[in-house]
Amino acid sequence: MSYLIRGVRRSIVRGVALYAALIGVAWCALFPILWALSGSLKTESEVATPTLVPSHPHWANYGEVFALMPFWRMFLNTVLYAGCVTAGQVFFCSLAGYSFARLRFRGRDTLFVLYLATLMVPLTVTVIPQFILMRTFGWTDTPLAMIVPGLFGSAFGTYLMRQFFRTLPTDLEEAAILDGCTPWQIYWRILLPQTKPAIMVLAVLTWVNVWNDFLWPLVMIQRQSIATLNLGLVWMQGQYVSRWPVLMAASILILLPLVLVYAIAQRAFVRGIAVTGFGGR
Amino acid sequence: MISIDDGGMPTKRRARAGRAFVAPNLAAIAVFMLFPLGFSLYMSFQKWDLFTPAKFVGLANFRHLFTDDPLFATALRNTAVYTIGTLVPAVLISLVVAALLNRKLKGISVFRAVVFVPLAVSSVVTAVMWQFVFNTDNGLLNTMLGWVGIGPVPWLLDPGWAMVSLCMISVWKSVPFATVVLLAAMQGVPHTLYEAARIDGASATRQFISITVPLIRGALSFVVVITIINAFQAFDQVYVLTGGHGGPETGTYVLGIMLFQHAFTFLDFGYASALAWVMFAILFGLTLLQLRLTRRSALEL
Amino acid sequence: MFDQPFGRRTLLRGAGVLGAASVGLWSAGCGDDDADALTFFFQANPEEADARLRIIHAFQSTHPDIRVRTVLSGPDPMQQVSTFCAGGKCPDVLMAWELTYAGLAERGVLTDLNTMLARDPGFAAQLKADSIRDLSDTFAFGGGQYALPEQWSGNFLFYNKALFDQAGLPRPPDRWDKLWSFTEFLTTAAALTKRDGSGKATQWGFVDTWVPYYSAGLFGMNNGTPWCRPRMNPTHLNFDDDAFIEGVQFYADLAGAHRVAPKAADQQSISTMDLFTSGKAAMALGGHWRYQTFSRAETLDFDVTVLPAGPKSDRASSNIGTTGLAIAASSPRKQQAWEFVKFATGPVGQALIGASGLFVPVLTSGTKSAGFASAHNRIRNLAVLTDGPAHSGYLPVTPVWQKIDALMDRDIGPVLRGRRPATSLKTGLSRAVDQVLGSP
Repeated sequence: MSYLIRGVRRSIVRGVALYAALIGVAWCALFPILWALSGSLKTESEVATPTLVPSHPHWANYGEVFALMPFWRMFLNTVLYAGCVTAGQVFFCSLAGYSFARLRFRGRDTLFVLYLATLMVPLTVTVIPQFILMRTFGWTDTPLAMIVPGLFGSAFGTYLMRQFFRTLPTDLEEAAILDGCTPWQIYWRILLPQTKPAIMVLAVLTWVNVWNDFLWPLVMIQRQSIATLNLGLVWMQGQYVSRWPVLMAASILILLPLVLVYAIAQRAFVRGIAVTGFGGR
Repeated sequence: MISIDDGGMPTKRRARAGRAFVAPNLAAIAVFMLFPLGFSLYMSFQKWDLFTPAKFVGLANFRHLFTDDPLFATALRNTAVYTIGTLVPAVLISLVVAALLNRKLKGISVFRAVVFVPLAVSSVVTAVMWQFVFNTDNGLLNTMLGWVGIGPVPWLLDPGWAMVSLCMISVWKSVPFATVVLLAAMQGVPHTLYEAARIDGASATRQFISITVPLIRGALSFVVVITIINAFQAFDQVYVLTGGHGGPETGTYVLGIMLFQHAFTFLDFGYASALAWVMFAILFGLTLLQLRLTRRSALEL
Repeated sequence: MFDQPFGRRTLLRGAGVLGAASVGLWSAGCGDDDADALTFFFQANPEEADARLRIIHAFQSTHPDIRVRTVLSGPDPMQQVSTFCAGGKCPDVLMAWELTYAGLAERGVLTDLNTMLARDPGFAAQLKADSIRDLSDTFAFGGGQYALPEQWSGNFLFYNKALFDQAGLPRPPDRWDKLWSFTEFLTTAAALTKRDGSGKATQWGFVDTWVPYYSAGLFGMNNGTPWCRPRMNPTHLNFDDDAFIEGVQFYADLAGAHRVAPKAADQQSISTMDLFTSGKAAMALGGHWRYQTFSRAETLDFDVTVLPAGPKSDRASSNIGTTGLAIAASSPRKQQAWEFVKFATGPVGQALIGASGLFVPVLTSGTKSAGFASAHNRIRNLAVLTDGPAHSGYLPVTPVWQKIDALMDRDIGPVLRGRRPATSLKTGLSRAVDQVLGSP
C-alpha cells in the first residue's frame, strides 16, 4: 500500500517539478518583453526605480511614440514591403519548385545544383554589390530597392517548395494530364491547394525576414517617409538616448503585430516545419 | 524520383512550361545573387570608394588583411568567442527545453507557444529591449543580482561584459528556432523505444542520452550549422546594442561590424569585399568540416 | 471535382488590398516629399533641431520659391553621409564636421565653394571681413573651400557657482588670458568632491559631457603640444609626445587615481549632463551646445570658465570645433543650395544662430550682436565664449580620420579605465596612427 502512495507522491512531485521548470523556461523567454512593457508604463523618474510593476500605468508614453516618430507611416511601409515580397516569393518559388519537381526540361538538374550552391552564400558577400546595383539603377532611397530584389523569389524558397512538391502523390496530376490540362492549370488548380503547409512556412519565414530586416534598410533608406519600423526605432534610439519609457513603448508597439500574427499562425507554422521535413532527418 | 510521362501531351510543352516557370526566379537569382557573387570577387582585387575610379591592386587587400590589420585579428577572435558563446549554450538549452516540451502535459501547447515568442521579435527590437535590461543600475539583471547581494555588473560598459551580454541576447534569440526543430525531430522518435528502455530499467536521463539524442542527430546538426552561420555574420543586434564601432573599445567588434565599417564608413569597398570573401571561405570550411564530422559519426554507429 | 485553388480568392483579394495600399501610400508619399525640394542633412538633438527649423523657416520666408526638406541624421552622421552619397543620392546641403569632411572632399563628393564665391564677389568680400580666419581655413583642405563655417563649437568648463561658494572656493578665471594650472584645477575639483559614509560619491568635482578620448586629447593639447603639425593632411600625430601623454594621463587620473570624476560604472546610468544640472557635479567639460540644456535647469546657477593649462604650457586653449555647410558636387540644385548656404553662414543666419543661444556664430558680427548677449543671459563670462576661437588649438584635418577615431577609441579607452598607462600610447596608438596616415 505504501508503495502505491510513494509512487503517487513521486509522480506529483515530478509533475510539480515539471511545471516549475516549464514556468521557468517561459519566464526566460518572456522576461525582456515583460520588462520592456513595465518600463514603457513608467514615468521618466520612476524608471530609475527597479520595480517590476509600475505604480500608475503611464499610458501617455505610447501616445508620445506617435508624436516622436511617424509610426503609422513606417508601419504601412513595412507591411507593403513585407507583403509584396512575400506574395512574390510564394508565387514564383512555388512555380519554380513545381517546375523542378515535376517538369522535365534540358539542364534542369544542373540548374538545381546551381541553386543549391547559392544557398551557401552568406548575406555579407552580396550586400555590397547589391548596394552598387541599386545605385546603378537609381533605386537608392526608393521603395523599389526594398521590394524588387526579393520579389521574384529566392533559391531557398524554391528549394523548399521543390522538396515539398516531390512528396505529393502523383495520381491527381496524372489524371489531370490525361484530361488534357496544361502545366499551368495543373499547378494552379491541383497542386497549389495541396501545398498549404509548405506555403505557410515559406510565407511566414519570408514575411518575418523582410519585416525584421535591418542592414538593407539601413544602407538604402534616407527618407523617413519610406522607412521601416526597425529603422525608425534605431533613429529614435539615437535621438532620444536614455529616454527609456518612450523607447520601450516604441519597442512594444513594433513587436506587437508580429507576435499577434505569430500567435495565430503558430500552430500551422510548426506543423508546416514538421511536414516539410526540417527535423528528424 | 517519380517521373510523370505525358502519355498524350507533347513533352515539348511541358519542357517549355518548365523553363518559363523557372525563368523569373532564375533571373532574380542571376541578377541579385550570382552577379553580386562574381562582382564582389572582382571588387576584392580592387581599391574602390565608388567616387574615384577603381584601382586594380591584385592580392594587396588580402595581404593587408592577414598581415597588417590588427583589427582583423580582433574581429576574428571576437567572432569566434561570440559564435561558440552562442552555439554551446543555445544547443544545450534547446535540447533541455525541447525535451521538456515533448510531453503530453495539460496546457503544454501554451508553453510551446510562449517559448517560440522570441522568434517573432526583430533583432533591432530585441537589442533595444535588452539594452534596458542591461542598464547598469536600474536594469532588471542588476536588480536581480542585487537581491542576491552581488554588485552591479557593467554589462554594456566593459568590453568583456559587453561580449557576454551580446552572447546572452544571441542565445535568447537562437533557442526558440532550435527548439522548434529539435522538438519536431523528437516527436518523430517512436515511443516503443522508450518503453523498451523503461522496461530494461533505464532512467529518464539515460533514455534521453542514449535514445533521443542519437536519433535526432540530423536535426541537431542542422541546428548547429544554422546557428554557426547566423552567429558568424551577426550584425543587426551588435550594431543596435553597442553601436557601429564594435562596442566599448572593440569589445564587440565582430566580423559583421568590421565589414559594415569598412564598406559604409570608411568607403573602402574593395577591402570590405575581400573581407566578405574571407568570411565566406571560413564559413564554407566550417560547414564542410561539420558535415564530414556528422557523416563519420553516422558510420561509426 | 477539384478543390478550389488554394487561396485564389484570398490571393486576389490580398493583391487587391496591396494594390490599393500601395496606390494610397504613393499618393500620400508624393504629397510630402517634393522631388524638387532642397535636401538638407544635419545632426541635432531635439532642442537643437528646433533652432535649426527656425533658421530654415526664416530662409523660406525670404525665398518662397525654394522648398527645403530636412534629413535628420542618426547616431553616426558620417557613416550616413558616406552611405547616402555612395548610393548616389547625396543630400544637396550637408552639415560638415571639421574632422570628417576631408575624406569626402578628397573624393570629390563636395563642391569647391571657391567657384561659387568667385561668382558672388560681394558676399565673398563680406564674408572675408567678418569671419574668423582660422575657422574658414578649417574647411580649406587641399586648397579648395569645401564648406563655409556655420558655428563654432569649442569646449570649455561650465561650473556651478553655488557649489563653489558653498565650498568657499574662489571663482575660476573669467577670461582666456587668466590661467589656472592643472594642479589648481585638481585641488579645486578635489575640494568639490564629497562622499557619504559608505564612500559613495554624492558630489563630483568634475564630469565630462564630451567624448572621453577626445577630452583626453584636449588635456594633452593644453600641456603645450598641438595634436599635430601641420594641421592639414599631417603624416604624424603627437600621440608619442611626452607632454601630450602627460596631459592624457592627467585626465585619466581624474577618474582613476584622484577620483574627482566618475568612471563610467560610477555614473550609475545618470548621464553626466544630468549630474551637472541636478547639482551633483561642480564642473562640467562640454561644448557650447550644452548651454541650451543647462539654461533650462532653472535652479542651476552656472557660468563658464577656461580650461586649465598644464605645466608645459603657457596658455589655455579650447579646440576649434566647427561645423559648416557644404554642397554636394552631384547636386542638381547647386544655385538653390548656394542661396541656403549663404543665408545660414551670412550675417542674417548668423544673427539668428546667435540669438538662438544654441550655437556660437562664426561671424564676428554674430558674436557681437545683442541677440547673442541676450541669449546668454545666464552667464557672465561671455568673453570666454566670444574669445574662444582666438584661443583654440586645432584638431587634425585628414581624409582618414574615421580610422584614426576607431584606433583612438580602442587604445585610449584602456588608459582611461586605468588598465594601461598613457605611455603605452607611444608604442601602440602612435605607431598604428602613423601607419594609417602614411598609407595611400
